Amino acid sequence: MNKRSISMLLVLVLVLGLALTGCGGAAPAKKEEKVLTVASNMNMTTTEPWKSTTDGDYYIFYQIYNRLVQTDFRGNYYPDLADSWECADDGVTWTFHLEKNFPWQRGNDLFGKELVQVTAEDVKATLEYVMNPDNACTRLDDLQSTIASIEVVDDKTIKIVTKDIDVLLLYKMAAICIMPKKGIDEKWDFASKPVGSGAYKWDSNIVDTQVVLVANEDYYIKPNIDKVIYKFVTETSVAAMALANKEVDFVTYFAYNEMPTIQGHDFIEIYSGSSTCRWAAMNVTHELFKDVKVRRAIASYIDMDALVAAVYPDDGTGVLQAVRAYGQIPPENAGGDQERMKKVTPEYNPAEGDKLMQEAGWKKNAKGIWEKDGKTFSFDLQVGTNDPIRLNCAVIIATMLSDNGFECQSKPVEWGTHLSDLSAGNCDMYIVGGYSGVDGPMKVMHTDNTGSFSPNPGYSNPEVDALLEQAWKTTNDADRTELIMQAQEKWLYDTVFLPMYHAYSFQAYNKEVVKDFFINGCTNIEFNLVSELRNVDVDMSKK
Amino acid sequence: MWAYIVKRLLQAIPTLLIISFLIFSLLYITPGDPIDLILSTENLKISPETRAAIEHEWGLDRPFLERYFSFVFNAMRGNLGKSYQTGQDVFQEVMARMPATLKLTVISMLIALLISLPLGMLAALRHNSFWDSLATVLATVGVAMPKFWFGLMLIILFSFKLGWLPSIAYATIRDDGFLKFLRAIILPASSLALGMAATQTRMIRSSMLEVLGQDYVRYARSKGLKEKFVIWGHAFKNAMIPVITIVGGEIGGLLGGAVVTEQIFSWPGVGRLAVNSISKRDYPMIQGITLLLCTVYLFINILVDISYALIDPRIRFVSRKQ
Repeated sequence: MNKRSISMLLVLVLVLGLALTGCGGAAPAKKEEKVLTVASNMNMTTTEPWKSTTDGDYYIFYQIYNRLVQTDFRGNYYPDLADSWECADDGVTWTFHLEKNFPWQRGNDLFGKELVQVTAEDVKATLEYVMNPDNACTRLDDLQSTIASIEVVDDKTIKIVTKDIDVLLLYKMAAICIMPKKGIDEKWDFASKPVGSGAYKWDSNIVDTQVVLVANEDYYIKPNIDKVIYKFVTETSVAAMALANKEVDFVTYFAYNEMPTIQGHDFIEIYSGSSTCRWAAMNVTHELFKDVKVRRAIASYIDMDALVAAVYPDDGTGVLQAVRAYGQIPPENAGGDQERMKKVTPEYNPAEGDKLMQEAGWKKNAKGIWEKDGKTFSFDLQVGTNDPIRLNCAVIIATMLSDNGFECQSKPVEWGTHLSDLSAGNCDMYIVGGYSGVDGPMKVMHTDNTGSFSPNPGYSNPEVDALLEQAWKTTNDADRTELIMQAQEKWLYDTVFLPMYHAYSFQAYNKEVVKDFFINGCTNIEFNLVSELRNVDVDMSKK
Repeated sequence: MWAYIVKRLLQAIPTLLIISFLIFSLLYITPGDPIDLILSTENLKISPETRAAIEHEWGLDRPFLERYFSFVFNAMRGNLGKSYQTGQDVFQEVMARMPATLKLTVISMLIALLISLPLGMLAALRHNSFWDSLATVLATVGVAMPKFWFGLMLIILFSFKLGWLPSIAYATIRDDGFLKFLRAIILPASSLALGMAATQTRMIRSSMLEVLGQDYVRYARSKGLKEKFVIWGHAFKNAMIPVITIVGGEIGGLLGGAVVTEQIFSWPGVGRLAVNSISKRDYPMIQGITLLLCTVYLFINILVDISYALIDPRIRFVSRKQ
């Protein structure tokens, strides 16, 4: 090869090199993409919101779809599609005003490049879709039982008339994702190509692994974050490590026992969200627990303060994990006045317990066991195996009762079996929890809700029922709260349910990266990432 | 050989029928209502009418035998039904997770064999030496160590402390490239491989020791054959027969989903789907997964039996005579 050939080859290599490396010099530097990575503790079960019942799904749906209103766990309502709403004096006519312009997401085969606004017709079509039994929507009963008619007043106004006063209408509306009427009419495949009007668009999905959403450039507020990645990490210890390792920016459920993992990582902030009540209860359909004196005696033998201190020891961090419960309603919610409920809750007083047991006709036999008509007071305390803290509570209560003359033993069972036993009334005493939503008191205390997925296998008090029914038809918030508290007082006096503690759930995030998450009343991951309340941002330089 | 394969395949049919009946019966008597567990939540109320409609739609209101025969009839046509939870086709849902499970199975088995083969051989050939002791220690530790604990330890060391590998990652070679795939799979596969390597090492060691003491090996040595020919030509193949049985069983088990490992490493495999389905009493999904995996397991067993014949001429001879 001569010099000329070598020179030509060098020039060719240089030209190719320049071309390949793109050294044109004119291309502007690409703006860094802002990405929020969320570790969700639940897998996505469906991509259709009207088929879902899982919180983990809704974390994602609420970013893709808008609802009429948003809510927090305390029963406060915030605008979403509807800027304002009012209920007429008749208590059944609700009018929602959709003042802002929400366009349907573009770039899909449903809308193409066309900019189409969300209208009241879309809201009506969605509600009717959910109320159609043929569509097997999970919220069917919620709407069908209450909505009498839906009227589109104009493009921006919709009127919903309920069959009776329904103070939970807003609560129900906050769970309905509005979908495009065009999609419903054209039988669009929402399962594989979700299209909503939210700030983020569906981008991709790897089954059981992650969902990726990208910013909707047409949204009325420009989203600060370009991409949101939801990674499904069901193992809480791994989620905590991933947060500490900066692999994720946000953890939707932070198990408090993972605190040691994040200690020393000052960039992590833990946010305490809602609290839910955990309680032990007696199955009043069983002969042993029919007498209120016996139930109050059992409550007198349980040192609930000691129990709470044992299962939630003070770890010196100052983070509030749980508080002693005196009522079913969490202290943060309307009706959660613990001091007032404390007055009707039996105190820890074994002597009083003995007295009540004797009044009920029970006597201790030679072995120190309560006995009546030749039968000893023997029962199981059933508990689901899904929560180690509840398992500990069961052991402690069983021990306290055994020490006071009862043949009581803790009986852990698999969660599904526990629920079935509860529904069928196949348990003596049991531990359960939850129902912290605004409709919780109705589900826990009202006779109509015994059985199907209710923690109440047979408790029924007509006075409690009447108070609750009146409360649920009372539109004035203060009056309704008072009625609920009166019902709760009677419920507590009956001592079927023994509230143990209100346990707080935690979310954790990298506070150097995630900005403007918990502001303006936004208390959880279910709020829209972009709305008038907040526009969550990330600082990529801190990742 | 073909007659043997056909015979084994035909034998699989009644086995599968018995298994399907067992699965169906066990699910039937297991407490827990799928409607409560899948559809009911704290903020959702289901009326008795809706409950009845769902029961009808899911076929829960039909008699046990009718439901069973319907399941078998549909399964024979390749239709395993739709998941109660997602409404999606069971076969497709399982197949969507199978690649992840297959990758984990293959890589963890490779790692296990890379450890167990040399170590087991060395332990047998250098009997009562350092290598033998090392193999024994590894086998004891590997069998005794719980997988979930070892998995967490791997994450703590390599992700949390050293920051070398991701704690939550799933990658494919096609979409993410080989390096990213390797980084994602190395921890879950290693976590699974340790236990298998331990069992295999013990099996290879004892099997080799047994074969090395056989007359034909002594005869081969007395003929003056070089040691490597004695080992690889005479002893190794014969020693592998029980090892193949173990490996075959392990592969079958892994295809059923490495439940704990998949859960810890957020690996989107069949095991994770199975656990979730069981907790929700998603009957079609549980039945579908179990039936598919039993079928795979049976086929692997048949393959293992065929491989015996390939390795050991005596087995071929016997089957031909039969």
